[in-house]
Amino acid sequence: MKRKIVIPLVAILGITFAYVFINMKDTTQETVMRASPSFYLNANDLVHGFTTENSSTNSILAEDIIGVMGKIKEINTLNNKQTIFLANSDGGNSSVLCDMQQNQINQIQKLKVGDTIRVKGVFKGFLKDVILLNCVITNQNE
Amino acid sequence: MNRLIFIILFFTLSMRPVENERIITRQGQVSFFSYTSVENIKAENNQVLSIVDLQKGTIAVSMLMNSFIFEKALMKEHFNESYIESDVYPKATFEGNIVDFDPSDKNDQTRMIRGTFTMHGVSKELEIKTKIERKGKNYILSGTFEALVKHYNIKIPPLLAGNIADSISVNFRFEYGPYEK
Repeated sequence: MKRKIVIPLVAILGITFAYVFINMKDTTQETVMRASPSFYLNANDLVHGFTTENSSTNSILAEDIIGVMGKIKEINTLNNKQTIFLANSDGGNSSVLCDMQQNQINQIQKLKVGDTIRVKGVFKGFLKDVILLNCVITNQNE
Repeated sequence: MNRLIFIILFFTLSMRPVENERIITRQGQVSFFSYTSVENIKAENNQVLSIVDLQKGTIAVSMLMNSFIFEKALMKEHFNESYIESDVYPKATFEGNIVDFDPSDKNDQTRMIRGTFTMHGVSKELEIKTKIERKGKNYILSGTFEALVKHYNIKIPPLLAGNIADSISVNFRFEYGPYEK
């Protein structure tokens, strides 16, 4: 009798768990909000590490959450995304591209070009710019 | 005398370096769709780099494969770890020519772009019909093409074969501005 109840119960729980697991939403945004960055760098050092193949950025791996401080070069809403570029004042036109989370809109509206900010986000790699996704603005103490 | 002035002017103007010969986008958009009866999969990359040389009519595109955003975390995981192997092949690239492109034409143009698309370590020649819009100094290139999964050495486990379409529809939209020196 017990077996007749337990087996279907386990099966239902298993199917429910599998369904939730398969359909789970991407939780990267919440992860970035909570996470402590593996590295903190200023935008110049970060860009310099990639443009000069400097070894200082070798230890940064794709998908690491990193923190970056820098001066805002540009803010735009291309592709309906909030994007902030952090300048590399060492020259050259490479910068740090921060694709911001949608919940950052209110904070972004208070910012202007030339402001210095600190962000954290998921490091994806380097093309012409260092690319960080799911970025949030953090305060100096974080 | 007039003819001489005309000839001098013509040569002077034609030898003048063209401003902003190159245009760039760092936030090009590439999305792909896989439609099957089991599920539809859509992903989008909004940080695609592309540079066009207006005088030569050449185009180069580069994108990070791990920058594609999926609706579900598991789709992203399968894409990066099992199919595309983005740690081994982090970028996809395209290098080609815009056939019969006229940079001086201020009207919209539809042109073929021919070139080599490299993804997952496999290079394929592609010909893509592309709409070219001009807005002042800015250009917008957009289009669609189909990519066959089997052409790029992407192995789908038999259990998931029904979830992934044989042909993936790829859309792109690149909004270019002047190249910064």
